[in-house]
Amino acid sequence: MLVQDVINLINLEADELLDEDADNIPYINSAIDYLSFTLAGLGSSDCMTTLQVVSGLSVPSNFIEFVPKNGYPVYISGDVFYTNTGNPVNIKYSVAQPHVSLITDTIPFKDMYISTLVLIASYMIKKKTYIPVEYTNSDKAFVSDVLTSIKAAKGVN
Amino acid sequence: MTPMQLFNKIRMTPEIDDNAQTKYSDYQLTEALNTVLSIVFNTLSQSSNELLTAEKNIALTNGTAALPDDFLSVVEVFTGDKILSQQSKSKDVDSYTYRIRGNNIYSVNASVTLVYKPYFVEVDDSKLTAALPLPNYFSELLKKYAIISLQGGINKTDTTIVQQITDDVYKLTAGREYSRIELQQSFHI
Repeated sequence: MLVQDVINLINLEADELLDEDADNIPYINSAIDYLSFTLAGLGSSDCMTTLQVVSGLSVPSNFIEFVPKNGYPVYISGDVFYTNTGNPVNIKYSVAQPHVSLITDTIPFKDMYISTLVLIASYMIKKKTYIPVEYTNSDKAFVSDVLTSIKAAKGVN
Repeated sequence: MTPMQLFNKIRMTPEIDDNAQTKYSDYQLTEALNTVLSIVFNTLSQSSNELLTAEKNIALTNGTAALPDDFLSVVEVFTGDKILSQQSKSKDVDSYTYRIRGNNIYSVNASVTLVYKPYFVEVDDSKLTAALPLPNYFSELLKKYAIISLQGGINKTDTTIVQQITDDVYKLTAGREYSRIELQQSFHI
C-alpha cells in the first residue's frame, strides 16, 4: 500500500486536520516506529531477520536488539559487532521498518497493519491539534485496545 | 540422535515453547546440552559399562604412534589375537607389551588395536547435525535435564541435580553388557 492511500485514510479518520498531504509524513513515520517497536517486542516475524556476523562487521542501521537478547556469543561496541568465539555467528535480530519520505513510497508493513498505522498517526495528529483533550484520550484507549488484540492474535501472553 | 534433533524436541515442550527460536538460540541450547552431556559422560566414564568404549587401529612408526585425540584411559591393547600387557617402567617394550607415555603409545608391533575410554568433546555449532556418541534412549534424559538447565535450575556444583542425572544414567545403562547374570546358588541340594 502507498503512503498516499494511508494519507487518505488518515484524512477520513482525523477530519483533514492537516493542510498538505506531505504534512502527514512525519506522523506516519512516528507510527511506523511505534508499530516496529511493538511488533519487535512481541517477537513478531514481521520485524525480524537473520545475519551472519564476523568481528568488525558494522551493525545494520535498522538493528534493534538480538533475539533472544543474550542468545549469541556476540557483543556490540560502538556500531561494530564482535564475536566471542572468533568464528562467524548466525544471529537473529529485531529490526525497525524504514521510514517513508514521499507520498509515492510504499508502506513497509503488510496491509493488515495499515488500519493500526492510521489510528496511531491520526491519534498523534489529533493530539497536536485538537481541543478538547478528552477526545484524543478515547482514541489513545482504542489504539491500546488494537495493540492488545494484535498481541493476542500473535499468541503473546 | 543429533543435537539438532534434540533441540527440536526441547523447543516443542510446553516448558520451552519456542519453535520460532525467539526465546532461546541454538548457542544457548548447545551450552545447556553440553552441561548435561559432561555430567553424563563423567558418570559413564566412572562406571564399569562399555557404552562409550572405543576401538582404534593404530599403525606404529619406529615403535611409536600418537594416541587418539579423545583418549582418556586405556582398556586393552591387542594385536591380532594377542593381548598385550603393560610394560613396567624399567624395561623396554617388546612384541608382548606396550607402554603409554605422554600422548604416545609405544610397542614394537607394526600396528596395535587400542581399546580405550574417550573423554567428552563438547558440542559446538559446527557439530549440530552430527550424531552424538550416545544411544537414542538417552534422548529423553538429555531433553529433561537440558530444559532444567535452560530454566536456570542446574549447576554442576548442585549435587542434588548431578546425583539425579547420575541415578538416571545408571538406571538407563544398568546391566547393559550383563543383563542375564545368573545368581549363584548359596547352597547345594
